[in-house]
Amino acid sequence: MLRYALLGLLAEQPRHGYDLKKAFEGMLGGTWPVNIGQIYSTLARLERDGLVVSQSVPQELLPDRKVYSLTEHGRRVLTQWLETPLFPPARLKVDFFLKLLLARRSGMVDVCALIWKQRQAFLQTMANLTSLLSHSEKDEELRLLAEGLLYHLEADLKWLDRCEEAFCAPEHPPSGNGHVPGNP
Amino acid sequence: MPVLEVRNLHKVYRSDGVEVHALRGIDLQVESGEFVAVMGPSGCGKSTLLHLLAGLDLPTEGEVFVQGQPVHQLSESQRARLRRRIIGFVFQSFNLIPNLTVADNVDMPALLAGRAADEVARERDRLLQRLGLAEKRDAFPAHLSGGEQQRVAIARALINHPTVLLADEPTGNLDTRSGMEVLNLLRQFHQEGQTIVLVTHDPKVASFARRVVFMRDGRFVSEMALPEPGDASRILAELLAIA
Ligand SMILES: Nc1ncnc2c1ncn2[C@@H]1O[C@H](COP(=O)(O)OP(=O)(O)O)[C@@H](O)[C@H]1O
Ligand SMILES: [Mg+2]
Repeated sequence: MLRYALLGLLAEQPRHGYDLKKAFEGMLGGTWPVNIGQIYSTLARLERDGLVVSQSVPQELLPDRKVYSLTEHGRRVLTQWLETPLFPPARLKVDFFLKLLLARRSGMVDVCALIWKQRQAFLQTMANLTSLLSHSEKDEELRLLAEGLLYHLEADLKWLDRCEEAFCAPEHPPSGNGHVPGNP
Repeated sequence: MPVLEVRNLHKVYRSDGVEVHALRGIDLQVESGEFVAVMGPSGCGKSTLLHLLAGLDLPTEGEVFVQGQPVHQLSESQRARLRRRIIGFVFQSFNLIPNLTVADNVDMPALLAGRAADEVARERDRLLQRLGLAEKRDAFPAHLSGGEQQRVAIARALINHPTVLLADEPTGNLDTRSGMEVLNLLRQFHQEGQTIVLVTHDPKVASFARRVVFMRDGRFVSEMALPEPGDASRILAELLAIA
């Protein structure tokens, strides 16, 4: 998770390690503190894998500091992660919300398209659950499990509607997924 | 040929000099045997659309074909005939006739269509049985629960073997459990080949369909296919991975 967060923040602009720590914590309102060691070890792995590159920038009196930026490969990996809807609904609020924030900051994918894709993924899970419910009349425990998950999904879908209201213009055509019937 | 086709449908309501543009260019094709849900927030034009499909009202602009017939060009009486013979309609508020028994409510459209009474009675009894209402045949609507009333309304809508069944928020006035019962019945009729178009604001209701069209502010903005859910063991494995 942290790895994608760093990629997203670097898509916004090149940054050094401490700047990334501040940006990451600020983005989540300080609810998710990370130590600087974690940031640097994650950056080292990203650099090794060719997702980011660093450049040494001299500073007065202090040792040089490394400024990181995203590579083309890093962009592709980030885009792919952002565009993949979450299956199934666990941890939606944290994981999906992070995607929304990073999609907005990086400007790399259409936030509304993201919301639509997630809605479609939930609807598919819902269809699986309602089908399971119709076929498990005799298994009360299984029914309750399915019903519990349905309530979560319903809440998550309502919340997606709110995200759409907040972030998408009315009648925003969801680009890049689903086809719009009748419209060229 | 699609059993239902809509081209560039517009509907403008005018009252007291105020114009409401309820539909802004809807295109839709429904093939025989499909189960389509149109889903969107309250006020986006779902009921308006369904009323135009059923010929209960006429579009301001655009065309509606049901089984090749141009609904938008038919006279009032021709449209009433169409509704009796090839369109079944289920309303959110059931709309049963209060002073008729369950049996008479169900028989009504069949008798109006000129079918023989004994054949109609046989078919109605079969449908009531199927819908778990055999005991309620001679009851009046006021003595039934909401779920039972809606099941009677479904029997009434299906008695003439409609080409397409239209349902407007069919579970909107029901509790969760009877709502699910009604949806399971619709799903079963679909599996036996009934074409269904349902409109709803509720994703859980839409998830019973095989195709979902998303509506916003008088327009269709997106659609998706819902593949037949996989087998129970796969779904179960998926569930347990999250639980
Ligand atoms: N008979 C009518 N006269 C005037 N306005 C109407 C009438 N019927 C519906 N509307 C308006 O048209 C819009 C769409 O309504 P409707 O089709 O009932 O939406 P939905 O079923 O999606 O809630 C709403 O703004 C509603 O107020
Ligand atoms: Mg309505």
